[in-house]
Amino acid sequence: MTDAERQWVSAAKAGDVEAFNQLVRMYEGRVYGLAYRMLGDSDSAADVAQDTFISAFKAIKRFREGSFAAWLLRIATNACYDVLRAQKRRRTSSMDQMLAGDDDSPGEQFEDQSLPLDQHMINRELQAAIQAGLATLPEDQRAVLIMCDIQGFAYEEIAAATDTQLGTVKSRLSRARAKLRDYLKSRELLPTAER
Amino acid sequence: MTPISEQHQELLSAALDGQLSAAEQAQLDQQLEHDPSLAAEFAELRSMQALLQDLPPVRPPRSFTLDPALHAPKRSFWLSGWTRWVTVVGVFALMLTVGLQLSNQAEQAMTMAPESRIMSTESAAVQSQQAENESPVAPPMSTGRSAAMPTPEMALLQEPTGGAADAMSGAYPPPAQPYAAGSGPMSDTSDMARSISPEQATAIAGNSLNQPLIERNDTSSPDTISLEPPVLKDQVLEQTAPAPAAESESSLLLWFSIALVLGIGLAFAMGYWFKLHKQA
Repeated sequence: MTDAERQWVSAAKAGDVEAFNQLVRMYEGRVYGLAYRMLGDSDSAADVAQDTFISAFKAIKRFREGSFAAWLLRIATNACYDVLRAQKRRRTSSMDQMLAGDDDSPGEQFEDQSLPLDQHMINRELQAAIQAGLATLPEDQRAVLIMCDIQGFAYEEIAAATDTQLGTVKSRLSRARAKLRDYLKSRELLPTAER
Repeated sequence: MTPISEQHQELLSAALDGQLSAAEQAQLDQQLEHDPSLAAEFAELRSMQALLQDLPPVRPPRSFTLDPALHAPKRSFWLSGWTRWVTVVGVFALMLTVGLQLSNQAEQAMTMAPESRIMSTESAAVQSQQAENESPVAPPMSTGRSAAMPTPEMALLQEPTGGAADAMSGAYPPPAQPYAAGSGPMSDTSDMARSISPEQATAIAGNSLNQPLIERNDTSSPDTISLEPPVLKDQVLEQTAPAPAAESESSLLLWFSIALVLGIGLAFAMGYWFKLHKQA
């Protein structure tokens, strides 16, 4: 945690909303990204991200030393689990909506819009396939894989964010990678292995 | 390609993230050299990881910053910081003072009712003591007041006096008359005085045992036997003298507490007004 982060956290603990908003600006991309990858739906992801920051502000006095990002992602992950459980209860799948080709496809969410059209289409398909593959993973494995390979968190931070041991993180990550590899390989989306 | 064990999967996964020790990494490199399926597996995992790492970051559809007007913590002005403790102390002081005041009033009300009975008993005891000192022969009943007070205590005192007791028994009217006329036992000395006729008073005066009693009273007029010896008045004055001081002290405390609470309230109101003014 940087010095600026510490100051913002301290000020936010004292009730300074503007200081907390600095933290929001710093982490909203990661929080929304995690939620989007977990849920596959931009509206739900936005709701989860907003709820995460509101919950974090309310609970920031309980935050002690450690990684603020991991603490924030823990709130976001739990919020995602809640949404996924609710979606299961409603027996609706966000993946079904996404694969049905609605306007909320993942390609619309990405920043790089300057690629050539054919490359852009390939990327969209690949991204949609990756998102579909992520949706096939168990929730705990999905969260670990997103945090590690997409968002680049260290094992320790992931363990803190998921409230698990380091060994559990390694194990979940290994299984998630193997499953997603199988999924992409079965759709011939993985580049040919070269050594 | 034969499926690899879970242990090898974890080893490969850790190797992707550079989490193996030097010894483990060297061991894995050797295995990869000699096991093409393991090497292919590792290459696929590395490719997949590269795909995930190359995914463009997702752009949030909007900002998630919080609106200070909505999410700023609402602090209770009335119950924050030092004001809370000042309020608690002020209210406690007020309650304590009001409680003391009420308790004093109740105590005074309780002591006012039996005052005459207590005073008569005390005066009888004091005066009998004085009589003993002045005349060792004289019986305990030695004052006009004692003669006029047939309280149970005095009746006991009068028993061993012999002639005086006889005179008193003659002086007293039959019990049926005053008790029938009155509403209860004769506790008022003035009633007793009225019940003694001048002849009875003279008879009492003729008795040598009652001489000290007569000497202490106005012998010129047996009808006006003094019922209020000076000792009793002094005692009453001594008893009632501290009461106004205590009362005024209690009132002072009460007013002080009220002023304290009002002052605190005024300070809060002013602080709140300044706060609102500042926000506006």
